[in-house]
Amino acid sequence: MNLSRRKFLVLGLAAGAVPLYAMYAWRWGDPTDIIVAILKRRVGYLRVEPSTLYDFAKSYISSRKEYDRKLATLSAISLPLQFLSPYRWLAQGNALRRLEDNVVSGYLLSTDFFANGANEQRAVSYISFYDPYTRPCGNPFNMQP
Amino acid sequence: MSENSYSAIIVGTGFSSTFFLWEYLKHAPANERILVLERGRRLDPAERLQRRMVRDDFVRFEDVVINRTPMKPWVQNITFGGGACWFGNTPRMHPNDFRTHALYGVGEDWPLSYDDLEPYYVAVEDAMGIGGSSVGPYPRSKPYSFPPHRFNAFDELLAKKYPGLHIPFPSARSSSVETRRPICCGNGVCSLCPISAKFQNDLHMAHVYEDPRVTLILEAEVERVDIQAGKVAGVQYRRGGREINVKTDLAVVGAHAIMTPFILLRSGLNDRALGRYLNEQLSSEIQIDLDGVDNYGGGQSVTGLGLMFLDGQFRKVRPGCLIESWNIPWLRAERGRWRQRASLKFVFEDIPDFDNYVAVSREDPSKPEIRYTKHSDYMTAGLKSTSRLVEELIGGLPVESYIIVPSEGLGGNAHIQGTTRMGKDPGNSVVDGDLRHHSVRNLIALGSGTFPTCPAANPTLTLSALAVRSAKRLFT
Repeated sequence: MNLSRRKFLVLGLAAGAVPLYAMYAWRWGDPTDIIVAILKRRVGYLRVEPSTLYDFAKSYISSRKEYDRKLATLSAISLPLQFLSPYRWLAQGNALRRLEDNVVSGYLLSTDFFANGANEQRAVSYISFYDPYTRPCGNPFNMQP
Repeated sequence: MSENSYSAIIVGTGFSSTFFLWEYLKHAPANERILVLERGRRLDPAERLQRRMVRDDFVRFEDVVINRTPMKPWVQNITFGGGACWFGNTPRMHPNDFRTHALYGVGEDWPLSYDDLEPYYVAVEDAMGIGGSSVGPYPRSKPYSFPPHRFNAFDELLAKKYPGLHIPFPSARSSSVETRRPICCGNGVCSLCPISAKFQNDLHMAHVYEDPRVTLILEAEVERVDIQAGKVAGVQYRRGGREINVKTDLAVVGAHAIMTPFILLRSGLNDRALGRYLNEQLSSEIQIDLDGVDNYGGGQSVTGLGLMFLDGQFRKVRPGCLIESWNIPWLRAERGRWRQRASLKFVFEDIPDFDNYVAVSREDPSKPEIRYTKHSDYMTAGLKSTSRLVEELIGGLPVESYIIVPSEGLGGNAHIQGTTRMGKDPGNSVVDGDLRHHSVRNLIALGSGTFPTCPAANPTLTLSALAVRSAKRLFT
């Protein structure tokens, strides 16, 4: 197939733009963007207060400072990830899949969702960031008889 | 008895030293003087929680050893109460673990049997407030004093598939208010329990050190045991920049399996096995996505103990393993399937290797040098068998998929064993079945360093029971 000069230039610019955008995101991206994007997609159907997604995201990043730059880089894909995720096609131990699991797990455990029987029709209240040292005995599945 | 003279000097305040002292005080006369020397400091429990200090940084273990093979990490907590990052798992050794050479031609036979140790298992289980079930291949002289924790849903499936071989995990995470501790509520950070539901040496055995016969000195680094004419005469330690010598009739060294052989080597002992056979269990972590089973409803962090692959003739060629079924919630991102996950850990026994050792560093004789070159072929066979064992385990169960999580470096479980091993033959061991040195009879070495083999079971219960037995047998 012969590429026209115009198409070649456009493809070349696009190929160059991706790593440049990733570098931009690594340096100036907001790591909360990727966390919020995941949550909007994964729990957006629940009756949650949108501001709590941001509250959780800040706490999540604060608890994982060593991943701050990696999450900032991922912010480059936060917009598409809000609508589509390759989760189901990724292998079980894949890093992006693990990230989605970590984020959703942390968020839902930070709310009263499971304490109220995982009722999707009921409004979900954000209690506080799930941390056994600041909120001991917050595990909703360990209900003593 | 003069001011600097003691009936007994105990080095270290970890589980083995503390349980030794606990038993010793039951028999010692009222005028006995016992000195306890601990290298670390005593942390304020509230500060420890506030700073989330699983391990104290006052004396960092990494700073006081030279690890020549850093691909194999070792973990220790140098502080009052000792321990590494103890989770509270307390399975007993299987009766056949004491006789692997006789039964399977591998490893060594212990110089005592399960039946010899059983009464001391009971004593320590009661002291620690351990809850468990009498089901399983562990003969008991009396039931656990406290009930077992609740299984999670995956445990229930395994227990149904393997009757009597998947049991509630016996643990020191409280299952009843009768332990006088809060009941475990599944925080999942057991190494430093936020509510003190887990038995903790520095908290729940602190009363032992308040006995008027006991003098506890912290921030004391023991350098050597003074041995004269084949008998312990005293202990030399350093504190505040000063070298101090104290006399004693009995030296008991429980400074964990790297420092204990180091101290004994610096004391002039040259047993062939001293410092050698350094080992610990290795494990494989398996993450399972379940199909339609909501999990995580168990009563503690590690809910199930799988014994289906622990013992049998296969141990002639590959190690036995016990299975830990974990219950710390890590949810799936998928709607409606959040709880459909299980986590297992396969913990393998090993055959200790003479060439893995602790020695006095030639470069810096004030530090021990650690060398662990490679896993044994036996262990390698075990790790390679993980996939097959998992397939066998989950066969017929509602499992969607699983992965085996690779270990970093040479892996580990934060245990240290083997370097002052017990045995009948002084040519291949350091202490006898009572943990007394073969030739220096008023010298006792405690801890998992005395294990002559590497059983799959977590060591803390066994090393504590051995310490109690050692102390009692001094007086009988």
